[in-house]
Amino acid sequence: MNRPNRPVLAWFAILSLAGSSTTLADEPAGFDSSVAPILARRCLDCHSGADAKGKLDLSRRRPAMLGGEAGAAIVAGKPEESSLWERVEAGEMPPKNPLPADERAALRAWIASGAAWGTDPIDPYQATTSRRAGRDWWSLQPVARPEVPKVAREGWARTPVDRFVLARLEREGLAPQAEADRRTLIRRLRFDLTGLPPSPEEVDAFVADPEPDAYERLVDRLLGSSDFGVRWARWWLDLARFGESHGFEHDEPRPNAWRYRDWVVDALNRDLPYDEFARLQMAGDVLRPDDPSAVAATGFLVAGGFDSVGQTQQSAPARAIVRADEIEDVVGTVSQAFLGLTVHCARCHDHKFDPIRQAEYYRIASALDGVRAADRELPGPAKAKAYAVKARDAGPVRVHLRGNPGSPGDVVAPGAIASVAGPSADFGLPPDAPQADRRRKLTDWIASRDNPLFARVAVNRLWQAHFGPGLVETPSDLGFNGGQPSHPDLLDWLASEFVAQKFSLKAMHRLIVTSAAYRQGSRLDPAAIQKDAGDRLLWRKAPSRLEAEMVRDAMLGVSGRLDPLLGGPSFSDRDIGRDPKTSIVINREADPSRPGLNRRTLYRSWTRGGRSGLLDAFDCPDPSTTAPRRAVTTTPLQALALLNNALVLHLADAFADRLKREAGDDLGAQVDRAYRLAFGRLPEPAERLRAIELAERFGASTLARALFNSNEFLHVD
Amino acid sequence: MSIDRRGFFSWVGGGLAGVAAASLMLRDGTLRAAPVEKGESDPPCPHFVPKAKRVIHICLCGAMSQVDSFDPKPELFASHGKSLAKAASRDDVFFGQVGRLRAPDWEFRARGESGLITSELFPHIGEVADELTLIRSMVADTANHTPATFQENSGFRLNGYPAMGSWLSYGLGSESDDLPAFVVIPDARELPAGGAINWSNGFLPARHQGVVVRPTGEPIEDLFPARALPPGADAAALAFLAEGNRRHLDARAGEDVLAARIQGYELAARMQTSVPLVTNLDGEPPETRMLYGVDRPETADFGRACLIARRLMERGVRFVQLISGGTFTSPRRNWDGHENIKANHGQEALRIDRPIAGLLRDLRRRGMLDDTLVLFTTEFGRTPFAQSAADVVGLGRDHNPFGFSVWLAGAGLKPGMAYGSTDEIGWKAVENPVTWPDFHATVLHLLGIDHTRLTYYHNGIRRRLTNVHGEVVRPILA
Repeated sequence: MNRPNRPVLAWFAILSLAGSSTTLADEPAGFDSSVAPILARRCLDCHSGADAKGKLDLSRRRPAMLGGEAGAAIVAGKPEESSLWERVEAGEMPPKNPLPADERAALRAWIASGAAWGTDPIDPYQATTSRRAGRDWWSLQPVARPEVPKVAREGWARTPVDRFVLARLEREGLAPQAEADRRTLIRRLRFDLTGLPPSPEEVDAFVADPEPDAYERLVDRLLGSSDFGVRWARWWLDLARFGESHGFEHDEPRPNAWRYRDWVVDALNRDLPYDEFARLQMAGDVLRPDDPSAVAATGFLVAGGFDSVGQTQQSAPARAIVRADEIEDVVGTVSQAFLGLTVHCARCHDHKFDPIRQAEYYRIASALDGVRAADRELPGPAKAKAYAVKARDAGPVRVHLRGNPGSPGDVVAPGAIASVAGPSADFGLPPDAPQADRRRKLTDWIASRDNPLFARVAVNRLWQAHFGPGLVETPSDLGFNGGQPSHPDLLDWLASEFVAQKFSLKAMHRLIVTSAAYRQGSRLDPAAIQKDAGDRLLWRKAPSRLEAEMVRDAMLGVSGRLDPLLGGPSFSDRDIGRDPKTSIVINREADPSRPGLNRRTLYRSWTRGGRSGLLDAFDCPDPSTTAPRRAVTTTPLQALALLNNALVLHLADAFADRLKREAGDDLGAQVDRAYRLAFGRLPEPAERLRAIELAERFGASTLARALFNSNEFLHVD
Repeated sequence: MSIDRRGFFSWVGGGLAGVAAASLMLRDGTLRAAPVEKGESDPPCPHFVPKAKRVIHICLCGAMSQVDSFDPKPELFASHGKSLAKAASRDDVFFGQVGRLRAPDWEFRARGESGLITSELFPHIGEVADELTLIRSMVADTANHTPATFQENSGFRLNGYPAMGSWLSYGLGSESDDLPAFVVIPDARELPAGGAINWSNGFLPARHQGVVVRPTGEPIEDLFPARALPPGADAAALAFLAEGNRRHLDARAGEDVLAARIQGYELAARMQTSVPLVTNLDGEPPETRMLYGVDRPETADFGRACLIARRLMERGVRFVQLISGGTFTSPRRNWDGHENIKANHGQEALRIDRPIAGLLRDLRRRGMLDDTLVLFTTEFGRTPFAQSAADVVGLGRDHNPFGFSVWLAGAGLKPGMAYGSTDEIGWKAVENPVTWPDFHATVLHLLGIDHTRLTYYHNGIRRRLTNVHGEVVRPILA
């Protein structure tokens, strides 16, 4: 049993006797820096833990020296007798990916020199390597509050944000642009903060406002409007994979899911602090069980798909897999949305790229194990129903070896990710703690002001929504596979400011949209784009295309048909059901002239199987999965949808009616009004003539249809 | 809200120059030599010389019985009415009822030169058995229809992952400038369970979503105005739009994204011409229409779908999925024969047998089978024992994910062979089991793609169609 150890001891003895310059203290450090990372990266995925392949555990000194089924793997001082070296040398291990020469050499040298061990067990997360992040990864470190940098063009900067942006531009030899004109600014700001275009009267008033704080007052007015929450709720619901049906086989509707959507709108409108916003979504039923809105907030956790058939099938093992998939969806969504960590990647094995252990996935799963979806009654006298969490007691959770619930491993206590700086990931709870305690502790850990990811991830998402790319381009992954921040100091400054502002989202919106970086022009500078094609350095405010909801809402608004009704049950713009005679499934676009369909797009029934061709053409994400960043694509199908869709033609007619109503029979006046409504400006003389001609020959509706399809309508400078 | 510069150009390949080149290419009825639109994967696809350039995927929803179709089991005929030698666990079956063994409802016999044995459920397909490469040892992860169908199409059991056609659109791009790369022709009766979830782009950009082409009526949603417009209004509006967009772009020189959108309208106009040409079968000779069964009421629906699929392939569409079967309901409108296999499978097979055989013959005589792949799959199989009380031979069969049959035909395959096998009664795969990731890896391989290198970063992982699994089934390759 002790044979493999003996040479090591002997070697230590010799070293000591010989008084070699290599001290005992140095050797383990050499192991930690040069050998342990190789073992950790290349071997431990299979050769560690209770389930180690070939019963060879290389993560700890003692079992590594004992060897596995095939006998001694490491014979200290004798690489040729060590099966570990034999297999590595023969290119058999690691399977499929033989080690590069330098790593082989390091392994051989280590065995030859006596195979001294260092930190035991090996800490694979000690340091970031070329292949994976360690505990020293940037996003896991505490948030510092960097000094606001000095800049040459003092006059341009309006806010600390601008100094960070400008300092970087100056370093790259680039210059930002002057403030855009007011017509551009109000259109930009109006869409950005409320998702709707400004009315001509709003444009006029803003352009004519002589006060120096006209812009700031406009920002405050828009932040205070109820449309603010309607626009920004969609920002959050994409992340929440919010859908109003189960998906899977029957795609059963969830007629009460809207209560969560309304909660989000309301929370954003009254500027609920973001930490509270997060806490209630993860544990509102636990934290405030008597508060109906807090319970409705937990709709977040259960907003994903639900396999109703799978949950009721005969086979218990098959049902366990369905449940395990469901928990993965919850763990994945929570950790990505609030932490920018892809914890779900650690369901089957330790995370391949980030310092997240498989056991930690199950510690979080344990904290969320009481979560069950239900159409439940809310507390209070109203007896209202919501699709939200109806918690059940949860037993102790075990690791699923290789992610398979049929292969249970060790029991874990509820907890979180130890590699994240700040609050302790150990909740001090036993594995069988009440589910409410587990979830409360997880919520405290995530939404802590000391959790560096919590604030960083949130401000990065805000930045992305206002500017296009985020400071980190992968907003739900601040780990090794994600992007590096373009302005690390600015990201940290914003995160610390967010905490200082007591997690007020509106304060951060205000800070961002009042910056000179946001207010600058959008002109394409050929020299700058050569240097920075993605405009990540903010040498301009990049133009943006309207999101799908904005396209529809803008058409409704401009045509005068927008129904101002906010909140409540969703409207369905699709006829979904079965033909009563044949039972054939019907799933088609509803007649757009039917009453009740003209509300903001946020309020359409967001069923997973009832996607809208028109909205999809403008990159509405599949609500089945958390969508941190929408693509912006152009296809002929997009053109066809916007030209020919029944809703578009219906609203073009409505737009024409409005023009006549508001501008009378004079076509010139109608065209002027049309341009002011659609673009916020009057037509140029040449386009005015062409527009009159078009309206004269084919009707104002034809003109309206063309305006809806124009690049100017669909893009914001 | 940000503009993905790459995204704007995806449909139009290398930008405006690509479109211009495309418009000069020979059109209609000729196979394209080179992609009009390149894929966007990194590394670019194909990774090596492909055998197949395009795919028709026939997808049978509801689960077709292997023991009644492509997996001959004399032992099962002999054991009719007996109980299983070793009792099945209730966990082995979806609805928990393990009845007596049930003999197949159709006779089997050897076909063609290959001697491949198939049943009378598909007599016409049997006549072209020499074209088939059967896999008789498929296994699925779940016996639950919709997750199994998702896995069949996307490799994952859950909603929200890209379908195979989306991956190919993303990886290989399109050979057509006026048709989408990924087309779905649903069953004429209704969409399958899950509807559009089945051909979702998942996390890939939306342009890779499957586009539904309807065999009758307006072929693509919103292809033409939803209501009649005054004569000339459409063209006048487009001209006005183009002029306004040009003026707008002039003030924003260099914004390719705006230019690409202008181009999108020109492509859309071309689609209005090209798409109806594909779905209009009037020009097909009567002999061809008869070959596909377009002239017979029982096969007209699927015959049209198959013939349109061939026409789409000819015009450079990358991936066409034909769906046989609708939702799960009573009366049955898909292959889910719990109550009565003979009635249910008989009814469903009648609709598709002749058209599929006609499609294979037509592709062969046109030389297209040399670089076209035809897939015929179902989400899982059915039990060799009846779904009934333990002492009864019921008429129906329950779900069986442990062993079932699919086939491939065409480019790069060994034809007229069967790979893998199930046990004596056709229940569980015993020799060379093939998983969906293996199947997908093999399809990608035939298209010149290493399945481990066609990836897309999403939420922390470079995702693959095959997840972390998949071995190419080499013994079936030519």
